Amino acid sequence: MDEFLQLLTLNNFGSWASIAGLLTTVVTFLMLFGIKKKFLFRSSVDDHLAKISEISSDISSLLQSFSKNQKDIEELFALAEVELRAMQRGANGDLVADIKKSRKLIRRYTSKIHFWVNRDENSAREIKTGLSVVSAELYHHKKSLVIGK
Amino acid sequence: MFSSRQTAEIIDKLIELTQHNHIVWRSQDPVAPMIGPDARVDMVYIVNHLGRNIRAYNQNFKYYLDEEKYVWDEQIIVEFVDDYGAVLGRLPRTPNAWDLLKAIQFQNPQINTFYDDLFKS
Repeated sequence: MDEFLQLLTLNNFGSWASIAGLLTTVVTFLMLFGIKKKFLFRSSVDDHLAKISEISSDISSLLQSFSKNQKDIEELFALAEVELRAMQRGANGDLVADIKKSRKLIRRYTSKIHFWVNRDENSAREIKTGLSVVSAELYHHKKSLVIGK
Repeated sequence: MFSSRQTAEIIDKLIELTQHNHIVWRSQDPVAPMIGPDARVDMVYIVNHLGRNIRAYNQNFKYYLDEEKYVWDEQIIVEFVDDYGAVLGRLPRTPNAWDLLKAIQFQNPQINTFYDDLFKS
């Protein structure tokens, strides 16, 4: 009991407060990075939506004749992958899951390692639908930001 | 109704079917209430697929900023209708609806054969 009472000095309280302060600082720093990513994403939702919708629309037109436009479609997939990577940093919820799924499909389609993957119209349309879903999610995300969510 | 994911998938499938001419859209003149003093529609496209009538059109409408000021905005509407044109349900707005309208318009032989007719005749 005496030993416990001896520990209750102002000096010891000061030491524990310093440790708690250090932990709070670390947590605040970590949260700050998260908030920064979130706000950067929110400020660029319009830009992301316009770009991904434009790419998706161009792919849709080219899919009218897949065999003639295969090279152009692959170039647009590469552009879409860059855009999706930039979006993924600040996205959350369903949107991030859809972005990851689309990126995975694009990587499988464009990578030379996945030689067994069919690079046919069906797989190209599957990627295009993935991009359409991302663009639809982003559109509703933008609307929810407008009403202050 | 459908979620935005389902709507995007439905519309992409309609685009694919349109581009492969597995479905053929008919054009119709717009009727009330899609047109009026605050809304304009140039052309309405309708198709029957799997026993459902699907209608798509681009609607220009007045977006009021206050009681008097307005700007013209536009939206693509894709909806299910019955045999008499009554709306049964409307799909949520998604950006790929514009691609559907482009695919429908390109399905018109007057348009899609123009390039070949111009340079190969």
